[in-house]
Amino acid sequence: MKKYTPAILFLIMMISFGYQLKAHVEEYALAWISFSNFFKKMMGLFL
Amino acid sequence: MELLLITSFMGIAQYYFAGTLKFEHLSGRLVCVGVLVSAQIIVTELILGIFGFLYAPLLILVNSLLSLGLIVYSAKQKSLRDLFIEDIKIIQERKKAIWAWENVALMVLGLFVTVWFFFAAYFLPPRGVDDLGYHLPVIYEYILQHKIVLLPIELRFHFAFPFNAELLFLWPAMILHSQQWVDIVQFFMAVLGVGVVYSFARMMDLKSREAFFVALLFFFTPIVLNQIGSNYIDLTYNVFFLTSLYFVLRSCLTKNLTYLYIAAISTGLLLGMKYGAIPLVIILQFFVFPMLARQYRKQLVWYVMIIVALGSFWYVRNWIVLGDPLYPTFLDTLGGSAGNFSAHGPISIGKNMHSFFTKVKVLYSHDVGLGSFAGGFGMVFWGMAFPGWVYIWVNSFKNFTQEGFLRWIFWTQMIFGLAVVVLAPVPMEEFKYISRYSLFVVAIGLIALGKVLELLQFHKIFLKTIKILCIYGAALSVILLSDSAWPVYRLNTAILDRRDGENPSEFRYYRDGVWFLPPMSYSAELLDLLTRGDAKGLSCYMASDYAAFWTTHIYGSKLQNRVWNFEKNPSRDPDAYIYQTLESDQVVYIGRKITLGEIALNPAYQLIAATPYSSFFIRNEFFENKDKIALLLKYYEETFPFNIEVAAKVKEHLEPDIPFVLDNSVGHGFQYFKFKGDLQNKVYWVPPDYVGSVIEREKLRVFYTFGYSFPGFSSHKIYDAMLDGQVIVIYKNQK
Repeated sequence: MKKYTPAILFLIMMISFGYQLKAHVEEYALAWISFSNFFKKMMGLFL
Repeated sequence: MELLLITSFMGIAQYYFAGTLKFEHLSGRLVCVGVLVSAQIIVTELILGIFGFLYAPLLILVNSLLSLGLIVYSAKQKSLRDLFIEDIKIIQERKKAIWAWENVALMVLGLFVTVWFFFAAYFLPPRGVDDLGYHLPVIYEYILQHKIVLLPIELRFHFAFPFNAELLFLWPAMILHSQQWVDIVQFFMAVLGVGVVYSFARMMDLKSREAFFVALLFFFTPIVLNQIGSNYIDLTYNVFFLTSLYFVLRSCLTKNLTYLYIAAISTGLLLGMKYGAIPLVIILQFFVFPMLARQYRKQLVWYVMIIVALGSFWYVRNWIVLGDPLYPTFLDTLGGSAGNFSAHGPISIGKNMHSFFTKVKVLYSHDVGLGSFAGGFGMVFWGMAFPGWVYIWVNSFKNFTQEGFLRWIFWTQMIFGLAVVVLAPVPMEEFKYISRYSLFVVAIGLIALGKVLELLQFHKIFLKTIKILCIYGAALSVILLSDSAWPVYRLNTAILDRRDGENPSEFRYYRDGVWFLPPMSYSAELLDLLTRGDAKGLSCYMASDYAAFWTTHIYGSKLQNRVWNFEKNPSRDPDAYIYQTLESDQVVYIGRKITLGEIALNPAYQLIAATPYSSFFIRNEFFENKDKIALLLKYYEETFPFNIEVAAKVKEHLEPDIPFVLDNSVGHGFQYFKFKGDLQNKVYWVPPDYVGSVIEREKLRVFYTFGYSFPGFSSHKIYDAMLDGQVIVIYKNQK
């Protein structure tokens, strides 16, 4: 069992992380739009 | 500049002093410096404030002398140069670990977000809900009254809370006499948090590389990033819980008196920050006190005395003044009345237990409060650190030597922290505001993640994947700031204004916020703009519904104004009045009841800014100064160009000497022409519902109205004006 512990832990973490990513994808996508818009605007201003 | 100088001097003095104390690790010593500097700031402000000597020059002088004393004392023990060289050597030994690729990635991201925070603190006003309601007004009153005072608890019971953490915000506000940098204080608390997480990680035998990695990840926790730019004190409070925990566990482990006393200082400060610290400290002491009692018999009295000295002031004050040390009664807090946030009413403990499992599920799957200062532990915590912690905690039962037990105490704090969140007696709709109370669990989870990373060190692919995903999670937390409403971090408008050569009041950027901030922005910006160049500004009265009774903006960006309602014995009537009903019609009056009607119909004052739910009046005398008129005209031109345009068209159709009575936003336009001396008609601009009263008071027989004919008069249309896409008819009414 001890031999497989790292792999099991890794697998659990990946599943859990994936679940969190899926659960919040909308919030992060909206934030990304604001973030990239800001940079586009600033690039337009200063470049 | 003086702020930077005195704070750096204090930092160097405490660093030097800490160098003379017995520490096993540099990281622990640097954390100790953070605790001692905070303690020095808080204690000197408290003492000067209690005795009514809270003046900036005196505060600077006292702290300079104290720091000088520390330097003189330390110089007898050790050379500062030697200490510094030793420390640089230690850091250089860790060079490889610090410059590991994953740490460099996080540091680059950290640099980017640090610049963002400094820009936000410089350009944007304080803008968190509780910041405006009580965290900041309290310390601004301390600054203006030069003593620690209790603000009217009939307005907010929060004014009687412990305020040790807010005294840290007082530091830049007092020295600069400005609100500008109060939102950067918690940045340094986040850095202290990184330091304590690193120290803990090393205590848990993590290698420097992993310890540094998880410590940096703490900085990128969404709620940490969101609270840095606010004056919500949960970040400071939780970091101080971690420092207390660290030093008390170190004192148990090492039998080193230094740790014991630093633990006492940290715990004392913590207790003076929030009532919520009491159960956490009691639980912690329950585990460690028997050990401390065995190891430090005689010194334990000092341990307790330091805690009491640093943490008890607010409780004693409340006991003497309000008859209740934990006002508004601790039992009420447990029962829910102080635990809930709005008018939903208390929730019983039984009912709360019923929703226990729903709350656990929601906490994990929704990461409640994400994207605001109220919550959001982030996907690195819930996705990686929390599962890692479960594994580490279960394994911690295997070793129950004294050291093993102390480690178990550390890991188990996660349970107490999460219990505070899910057992807090608040209804489900307010659950999203709670997780901030226990953000220290993130630190524990991240250290567990570090332990798991070490477990995976021989599985490079696993290790790298996890590290890459953690960096990805950190980057997402930063991106999340772009869309944050609580508080807002968007700098677009501020940067555009600077590009256009404008230097508006920072309160203009309330308009980029949400909830009450946009409607409040008009009076907030104008009041500040008119007074910010004055050494002594205006004394402003506020009457508002309870929820929107926020006063931070009234003080002005340079703390030049007074809130008349909070003055103990005001020598004269207010110079300005702000009335607002933004959430309900139930107006709260503090100090004296002065109604909107009294001021709206008082010819000594005039309305200069209004929205459908708020009105801002200033005494006429104020505009005897031509410079003030120039500022007002500039404000109207920049803020209400459309209303000026409408007024310009309307005034072309007016017969001279016939007054105009109106109750809408075109009033800004008419005021513009009136102050410019470019209007031959008298204008009566009043809040909605006061048109009839002013006509009656002035006994008007003939007058113009905007949008409707006045009943009881013969009226005829003189002009069709366009306002917000609608045709508005101008009537001439006469008897």
